Order: sequence, then C-alpha cells, then structure tokens
Amino acid sequence: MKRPPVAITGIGAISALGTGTAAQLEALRDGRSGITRLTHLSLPFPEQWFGEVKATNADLAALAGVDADRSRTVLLGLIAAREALRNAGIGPGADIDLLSASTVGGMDRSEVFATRWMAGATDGIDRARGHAVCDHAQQLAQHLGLNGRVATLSTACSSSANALMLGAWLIRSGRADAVLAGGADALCRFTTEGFRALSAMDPAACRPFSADRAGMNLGEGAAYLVLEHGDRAQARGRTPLAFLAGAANANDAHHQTATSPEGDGPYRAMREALADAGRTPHQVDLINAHGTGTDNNDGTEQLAMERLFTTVPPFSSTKSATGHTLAAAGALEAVFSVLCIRHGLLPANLRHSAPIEGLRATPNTTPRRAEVRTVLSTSFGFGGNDSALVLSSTP
Amino acid sequence: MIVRASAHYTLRPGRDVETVVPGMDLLPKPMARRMIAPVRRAMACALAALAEAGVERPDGIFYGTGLGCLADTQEFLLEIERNAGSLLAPTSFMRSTHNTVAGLLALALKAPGPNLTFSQGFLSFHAALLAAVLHLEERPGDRVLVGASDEHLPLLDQLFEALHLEEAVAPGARPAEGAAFFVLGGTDGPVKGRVVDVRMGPADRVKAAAGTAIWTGALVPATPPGPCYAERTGLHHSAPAVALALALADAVPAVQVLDREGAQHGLIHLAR
Repeated sequence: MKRPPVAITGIGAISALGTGTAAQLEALRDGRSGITRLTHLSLPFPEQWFGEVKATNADLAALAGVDADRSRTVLLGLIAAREALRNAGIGPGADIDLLSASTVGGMDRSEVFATRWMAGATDGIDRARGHAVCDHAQQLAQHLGLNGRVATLSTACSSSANALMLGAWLIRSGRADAVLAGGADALCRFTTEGFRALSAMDPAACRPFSADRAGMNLGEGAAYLVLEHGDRAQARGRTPLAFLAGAANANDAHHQTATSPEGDGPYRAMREALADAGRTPHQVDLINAHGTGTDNNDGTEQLAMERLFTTVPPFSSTKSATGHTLAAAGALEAVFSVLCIRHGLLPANLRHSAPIEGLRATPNTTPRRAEVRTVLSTSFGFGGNDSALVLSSTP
Repeated sequence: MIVRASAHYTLRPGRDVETVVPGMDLLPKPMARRMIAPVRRAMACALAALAEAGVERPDGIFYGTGLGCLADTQEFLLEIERNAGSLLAPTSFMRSTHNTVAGLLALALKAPGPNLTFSQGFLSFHAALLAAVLHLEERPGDRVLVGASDEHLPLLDQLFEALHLEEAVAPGARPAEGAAFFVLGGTDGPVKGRVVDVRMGPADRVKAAAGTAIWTGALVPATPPGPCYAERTGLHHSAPAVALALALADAVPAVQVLDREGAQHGLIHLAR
C-alpha cells in the first residue's frame, strides 16, 4: 500500500524573534538575534543572556484572548497554535488531534510556591492544578475547540520533534486525518538554575559550532504545525506549505545528559529519518542543526554530520538567534525549515568565529538566498533522546 | 497486538507494607545504587517484564508518566531554595525530566530504538500504548517495551486534601505509587494476551463495546459501566497500566478498561 503523504498546511510560532511566522521570517532574513538580558520577566538572573519572548504575561494573555491567570507556557502555546490553525483554515470544533510537547509545563507558576507547599503551607495551592506538563495541551484543546485525541510528549529537548514524528505516524496509520503538532515552553527559574548547575550556559550570547563556544542560552517560545493526510488537504483545496517527508527517533544509550563521543545517536536519527523519507544525504539542501552551543553537543553533532555526509550541506543553528527553547525547539525549527523552503533561505548561524578543532565544515554564518527543497532538522535531548525530521517541498 | 509478558506493582502508603516489586534482582548494581527508590522499582518492573518475555534488548521503549520524576523535581526545587546564588548540585535536575525512566532503561539495555515518553494524566499509558501499536503496525517483527510509572510523595497527600480531590475520584482512592510494564509484538514466544484496541478522545469516540466486561478508573463513575479498579491499583496516573497487568494476572477472558483525563476519555480493550 502506498504511504500517504503528510502535508503541512499551517504553521504558527512565537519566539524571541517575535510573534507570528512573518516576524520569524523577517528576523531570519535579516540575521537578527533575539538574545538579550531579561527585559520582561522578573527572574533573578540579571547577568544571564536569554532568548526571551519580549512580552509580559499580561501582553501574551491579551494576544491569546484569555486571562493571564495561567502558565506562560499555555499563553505561548495558545498564540502559536491559533496561528497555525488559522493558517490552515481550520476553525473551532474541527476533527483534529493535538500532539503537544512541554518540559516546563506549569513550573513557572508552581515553582514560586512549591517549597512552601512542601512545608505544609497552602498559599497559591490552586496553581498546583496547572503544574502537570499535560495541562497546557488540555487548555489548548479546550480554548481552540479541538475535537480529537490530546497527548503530551515529554522527551526533554527533542519533545516537539517527537510530537511531529508521532503526528506523521498517526496520519500514515489512517487513525487521524489531521494533527496539530508542536510544543511550548516558557522560561522559568527551575530550568535556568538547572542548566547553570550543569555549567551549560554561556555567560555571553551563545556561539554554536564555534571553537570558542561556551554553552547555550535558554530561550522560550512555542510553535505548531498542522499536519494533514495529503488527500484531505487536497480535498479541502489547500496547497501544502511543505511536507513532513520523514522522521526518526533513536537512542544514544550512552549517558543521561551527554552525547556519545562519536555522536552515534544523532547519526542514527539523521540516517533513519532520511531513510524514512526515501532521501539520500546528497538531496539535503540545508541542515537546521540542534547546535545548542555546548562543547559536548556541537562537537558530537558535527562529527555525526561529517560521518553521514561526504560533503556536509549548508548548516546552521538558529538557536544562536532564539536561544534553546527546549520542548518547543523541534517544532520551532520545523517552522523555520518550512519558511526556508518556501522563501529560499539559508539562515545564519550567528557569532561563529572559528571551526571546531579537528572538524572540517563550518556553518552558514550570514543569511543567504538559495533554492531549498529539502531540510534535515535535528533535536537531541536528555536521556540520549535523538530525533531528526525531513521537511521537503515534495512528499 | 500480542502481549508477551507483564510485570507490575502497587505501593499504597500505609497499606502495602510488604509489596513485592518484581525484578529487583535484575537491576544493574552500579546503576541501581545511583537511583532513587521509586525509579529503581519502576526499572525493576520493566526488567522483570523483559525477562519473562526472554527479550534482552527491546526494539523500542514507549513509556507514560503522569507527574514524572517527582522526588528529583522536589529535590531540585529545595536545592534552589537552599543554595540560591551559589553553585547548585545538578544531579536532581538531570533526573527531573519526564523521560528519565525511559532514558535510563535505554541506557541499561543499550536499546538504540525509538524511545518516547508521554504525559497525559490518567491517559499517559494510553498514549504510550497507542504509539507502540503504531510502531508495531509498521514493524510487526519488533518486540517493544511499553509501560508507565508514577511516584508518590507526601506532598501529593497534602495537595489531595487541600484541593479536595477526594470529591473528584472514586470513594476510598488515595494517592499511591505504582508501575506496570509489558512486552508487546514479535512473531513468536509466549502469548499472555492481546491488545484489541486502544482509544483516546472525546467521549463519543471512546465507547465500550457491548458484551465485554468493563473496569473503570478513578475518574469514571463506576455505575453503570463496571467495577472500579482504583482500590486495587491505588490512585496514581499509571493506574490504567497496573489495571491491565492485573487483568492479565487474574486471567480474565476479556476486559475494557475505561479512564478519563479532563474532557478526554480513554479505553483499552484486552483479550486473552
């Protein structure tokens, strides 16, 4: 039986680069960075650099059309998901599944009171209802009037790439005609302290794939894509923006938080995603790399790329502009990939000064125009969780 | 999908004093020493299911958890409070992600295949099981590990009281810990049962079929559908997985397990 094509018929995003996909595209074309000190959030890290969404929760709530008494993760998610549905021409009450990803969930609100709850106090305890990572997905389904399955993926930094992969599986199996897939994560104290404790944060703005890289900048945002069975998209008269041609998830099985020296997991994820898409490495026009800016990730990721490709195609880490948006990253970069295909763009890997010692390739450092038919986008997370997506102008 | 093996345990605080957790002897010793107790118990349970099926390395790991690694999350929040401003110990943060158990299983088993973690309250296991079924439909020869686990903390009892959750759940259900793991798929080996169907979605799409026994979860009104399993499994988000393992252990001919999370309903239909 012929496998049905998985069409992408709608995209939506919010990140440090702005609100909406048009703002993302403009910033990517201009090679602009969204990495700054905190200007809108009151977290105790004045010395740190972030990919902060430049809006207060009240601003976001107004944009999302809801009250602000909920997690920032939900607010970001609502804004991006609504844009994706509108872009696809899908209204409330639609028969569409939601596969959403989050690692932070309602932690931005529960962390304020949690240790007091542990000590027996009950102030702000209603916030505990919104703590679970699935709460954002339930709120999205409710507010957007989605009438289908709702499931939350939580595999650390590869979460929303996996949501997209599972969306493709559901459509190919015939169990779903349409899936809204993506993810949302807000900045919070918990994750910032965590990556600081791991010494994974660059004290300056991050420099992915650069010899002088010194860690990541934490970011926040949300991105969603409407995936549809190709026939259904056609029946609705929608021209797909692009296709999710293939996807794979592999486990590095090496260490809880570090990638194996040869980048085995990333290598297998990329190879299997290309095989799933029926593509050969030389058909890849652009790699949207995971590229967090940490010593371990970028070195092993580039080694894996050099193992897989005889000549590494143009590659860049857009996290140099957005920061690492954790569970939202895979979907955000899938949206960027669609934009690159649609608008013939090779985005910039900012602040690159010198290649990593012992490796040959260098990332694309300025935005360039080029024909982009097929993009390989990678996302790697804690637990050795490595994912790759193949997005293309053809199924 | 053929169920080759299953293992489960439940720990109801104040009630289960001598719970036997299967597979504790199978844990790799150096790794086990570094794990906190509930993660160790969940891992053991997974290893017990694999041992029963005679599978050394599953071709995929599909895992669900409602609240993830609660003890490590709590520990890192306390670490932030204790030592804010100085260098924090990162261990509890590293282990606080929801995919810690599935990741540790991949590490312990050197399992390179797909490794997915789902979190959807009482339907976390349903999502994992659905993903496993999708994987096996594409690769019927594969043998995969599917399971769910949830921890218990005193904080949960406190939230249960403060948020008046007893009004929302089946009478007598109290926060507990539990896990269940299954080996599914493959073309040969022992046959313990069969997953006939797994469904999630709005109530009208998750209707139980007539003529097959029904068990209901803690959030599903017990009458008229069928007896509530929450008393046996304890109240935790992985209870549907434990209920399925209990149905296999009881050798019931067939059962439909009904659950709910928010507006969404879930159904797992198991037959022998």
